[in-house]
Amino acid sequence: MIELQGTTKTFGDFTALDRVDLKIPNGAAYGLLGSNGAGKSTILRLLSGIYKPEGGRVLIDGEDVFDNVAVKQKVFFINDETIQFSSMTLKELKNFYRQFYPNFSDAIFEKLEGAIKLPMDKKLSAFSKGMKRQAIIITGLACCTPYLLLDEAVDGVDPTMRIILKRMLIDAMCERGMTAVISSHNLSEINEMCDSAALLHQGHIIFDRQLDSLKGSVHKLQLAIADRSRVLTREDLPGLDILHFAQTQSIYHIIARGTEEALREAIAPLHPVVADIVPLTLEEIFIYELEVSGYESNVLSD
Amino acid sequence: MKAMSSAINFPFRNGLRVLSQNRKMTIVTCILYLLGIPLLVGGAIWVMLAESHTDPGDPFYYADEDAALIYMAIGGCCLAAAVFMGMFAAINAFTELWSKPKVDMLCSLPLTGTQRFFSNLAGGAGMYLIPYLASAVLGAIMLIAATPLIHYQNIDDLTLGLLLYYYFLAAFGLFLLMLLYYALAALVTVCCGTLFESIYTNILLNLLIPGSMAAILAIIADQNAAFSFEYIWYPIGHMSPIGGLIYLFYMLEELGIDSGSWAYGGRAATQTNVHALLPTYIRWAVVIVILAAVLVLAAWQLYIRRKAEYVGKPFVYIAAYYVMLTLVTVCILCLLSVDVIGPSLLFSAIVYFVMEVIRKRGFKRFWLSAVTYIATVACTVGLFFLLDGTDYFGRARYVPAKGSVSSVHLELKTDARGAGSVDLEYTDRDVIAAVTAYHKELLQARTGRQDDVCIPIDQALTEQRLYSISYSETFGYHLPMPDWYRADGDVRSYPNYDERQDTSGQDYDWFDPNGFYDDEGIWNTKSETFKYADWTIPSDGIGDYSSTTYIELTYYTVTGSVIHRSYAVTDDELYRLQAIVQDTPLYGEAQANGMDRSIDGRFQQWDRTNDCSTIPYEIEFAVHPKDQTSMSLRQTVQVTNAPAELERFKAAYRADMANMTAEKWRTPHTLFSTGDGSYAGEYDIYDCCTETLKVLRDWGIHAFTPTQRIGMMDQGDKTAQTYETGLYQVTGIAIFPAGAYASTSLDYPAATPGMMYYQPQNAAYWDIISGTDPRPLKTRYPELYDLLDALEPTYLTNESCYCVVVNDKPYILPAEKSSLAEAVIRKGANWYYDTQIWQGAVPNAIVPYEQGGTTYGDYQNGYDEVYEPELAY
Repeated sequence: MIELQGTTKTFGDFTALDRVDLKIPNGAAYGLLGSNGAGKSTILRLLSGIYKPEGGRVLIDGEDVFDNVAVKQKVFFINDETIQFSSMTLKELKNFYRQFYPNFSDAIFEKLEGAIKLPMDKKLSAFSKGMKRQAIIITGLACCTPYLLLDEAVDGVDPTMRIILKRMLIDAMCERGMTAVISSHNLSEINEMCDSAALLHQGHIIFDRQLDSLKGSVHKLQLAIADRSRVLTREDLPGLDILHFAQTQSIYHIIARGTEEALREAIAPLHPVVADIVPLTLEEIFIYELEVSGYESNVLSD
Repeated sequence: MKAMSSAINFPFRNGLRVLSQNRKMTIVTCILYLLGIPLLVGGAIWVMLAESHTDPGDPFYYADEDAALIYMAIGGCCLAAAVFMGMFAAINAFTELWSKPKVDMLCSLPLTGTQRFFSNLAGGAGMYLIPYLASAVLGAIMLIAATPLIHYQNIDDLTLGLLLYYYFLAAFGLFLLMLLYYALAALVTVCCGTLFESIYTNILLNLLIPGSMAAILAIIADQNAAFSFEYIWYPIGHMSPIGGLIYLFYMLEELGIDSGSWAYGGRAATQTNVHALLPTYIRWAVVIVILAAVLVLAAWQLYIRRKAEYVGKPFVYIAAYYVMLTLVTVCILCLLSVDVIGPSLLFSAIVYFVMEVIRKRGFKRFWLSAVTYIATVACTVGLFFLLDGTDYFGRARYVPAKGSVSSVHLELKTDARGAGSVDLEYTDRDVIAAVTAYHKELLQARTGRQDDVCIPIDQALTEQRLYSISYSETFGYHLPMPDWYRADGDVRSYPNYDERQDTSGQDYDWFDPNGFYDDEGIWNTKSETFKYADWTIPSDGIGDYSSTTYIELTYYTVTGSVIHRSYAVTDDELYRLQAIVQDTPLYGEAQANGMDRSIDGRFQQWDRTNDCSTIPYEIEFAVHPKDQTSMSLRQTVQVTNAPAELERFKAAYRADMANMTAEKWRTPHTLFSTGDGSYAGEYDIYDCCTETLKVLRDWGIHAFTPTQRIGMMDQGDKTAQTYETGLYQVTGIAIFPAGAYASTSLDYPAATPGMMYYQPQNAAYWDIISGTDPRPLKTRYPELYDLLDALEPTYLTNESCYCVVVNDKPYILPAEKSSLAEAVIRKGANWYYDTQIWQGAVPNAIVPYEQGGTTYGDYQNGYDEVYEPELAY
């Protein structure tokens, strides 16, 4: 299990993570969402032992990660860079990582490589960005580590290959019980692959939930009441945890946390003539949750 | 269990990873090494082959040495380039420290920081040092293979073992320096966060560490003459790779490996003092290894404390930058003279601020740079004040305890008689004690003085109304001249004034009693005119102009350190040190060895440069009087059975030197000096050299007559080649009693080796024309002959003695023979009807003054005449 206990990470004056607590159970496909600079990559680097936390602990299977060879052997980190491998061929890349990961499986590597058909003896500098991502992902999967950390891992990969890679990841999780922590701005990707996710903003976790429950927990409410002369405010809806409140003529657009039943119950006293309640997509949840945190997407609309 | 063993191998695998990822650089380095060392060694072998095969029938006789030297130069360049690559080996071994993309890749590998550091370090060292070791072994194999072909005829000790020994010292020394260089590069790389900073900091620090140390030490050596840069630069050789390289060359040069030929090196090394070789090398090697280890440990500790996110920051550990910046500033401030402090400050400020802009990538908080610059300059200036104020932390006045000294080396730039230098090393405890005591006396005499040139003697001479004008080559130091010296307001009217200011250090008597020979024409006998009329000397004024002599004391302590001091000393100080060495058997032995080497070297040269391989059976041997080197005054004899006879001569001289004491040296009656044509070099043969004189008598060399010894033409002296028909010679003879002349010595007022200074108004003076009268001097003037016979050209005594100046050369008449001078004075007063001796200087020699005419004699008719004694210029 991955665990962050009050973890703080600073870069000079900048606090990337501020006393973050997080638990990721084994076998989970966990997504890290957040704005730019929220601390997603920092969490992954802490988990892979690259960074040392200034405060708190970063644990994998109950052990601190930093400078711990035994723990680091369990983790494979794929970052969003590919330039570091440019001087290697795929074969060399495989051999390089095979030295450091005792569970490296040639069979898995050959199987995966066979599926995507990358040239083995060509330098990675001659590969396209997507091909490089494919190369490092199959290498990482072949290392057979219990934990795989992916930072924008499939960025630049074409849709077809993206499906293949996702399939590979899912297979590894299913077959080996691998835990994957995926950081991405592509919410649909997280939506498709992850069962849980955390949303980070400015070094804090906004939420940390299973995606299924997350999707039913925030709803968009379109509301109209009979008395048109009456203007509703947030205070008129005391039972709602409102993320967003707007009015267009007589229609009120409200984003609020809670189940559909809870929302209907909360607006019942207003006797609405219109009350359409629809669940939010993950992307909408991302936007509105961050808006609450002051990270608005419509700063240029006025 | 399997996982554990694999984990243990991770560092090794990481090291291989470093090698693998830098294989192109490794290949280039290998090629450079494999070209460098074999070309250097091969070239040296080729030169040795060419040198050692002198038979035209031998194929190696025609070996082209020039081509070999060019190959060696190419090899040297390749080796230098390969060695320089060490910096890049370290930088490339630690790519995660300066390459952002590689941080994640390398730092996420299952390694601890320590494992990663040492495996990176080992990987880099592998690609840098292993090829060197391989090529060094190859060089050794070449040497072993070629040695049987090298046959020097005159160098017996050129063995394979010796060659390999030198080769090992050179190769291993370079290996240690490469290790140090690599360790420093690793440390610098850990301190930097970008490739640019890593490279330029590496280059600058490698230059600045020895450079700034050299600059500071040069100033110390310049400010305090006791410190010789030649010795105080040693720390540079122990503190940095470049300094170490220079030091290694220095040691190899001491061994004799400096001409591309180890063969001559071998011969030179056998003559080099043993203590300077292996122990010095080992001490240096140990220091280098320790320093490299310290650098590695520092790099390791900084590495494991360094955060991965620091990559990209110009200087992760800013101290490295400020060290570099301070060294740059110190270097610039030191290299420029204090006289141009303004420009040096400006220049250093420009460099300082440019470096600050580079580091900050802009002008952020630039006021802080100004503050740090001012602090740096203040620290630099403060350092020199501190050094000066503390007598260089007490080192300037430090004399090692006699018990801590294992040996002391003495070097007198010239001996107390102005002859060859004395260069000896003693392990004798009594001598060491005497020298340390002497050293303390020197320091005591210089207490509170800014300089160390003749100060005590100057004070004492001044008190005696003598005046000393000291001259130092080092400082251009002049004591103020006495007022009377400038009495007429025009110093140029003073005779020989310009020559006196000659910076070559040549010195002159400012008064020459034999003005007859002076270009200035001070005294013209014929016209009886004096040209000193436009300047005056007080009746009691006696001046002196003395040059300085340098001595060097080098202590080798039991702990292996070397303490060296150099001093300009007064004559008395020089005599005291000379007395210490004179009473030691080693001095005589060194003299004898010197003569042995001269004679042996001459025969070896004869043997090598001529086709014949035998030493000549008959040689010509010559001696001359101590102060007369004219060819016409030499005695030359043919010595048959030369090898055996010269061996006898050497043995006799060795025996005499063994019996030589300070007292005999101080009061000699020198008979001969060997010199050119003697096969023996310049050596004095004293009357106490009974064995040597016996050999010379056997060869037919006789004692020089008094007139020969002083170079006086005597027609009656047929034993020497002094007869010059048709010429006459004027010999000026002046007799000065004690008190009417002075030497530069206080301990030995009657001392001929130092500069003499005369009070001419108290002299008796005659000009004697000789060369036309067939009668010998002994017949014509027996008293004068006896006087000349007793004169000593090299004599030191604190007794009251007469000084006799013959043709501008001072001689001391030993006190017990004073009556001879007095006899001449009394007799000389009667040589002419009007004569004046001196006024009251020697009571029993006073002759009533009689004014009268002058007789010049009839020298044109073939008779010598004695001119009148002259007085009071």
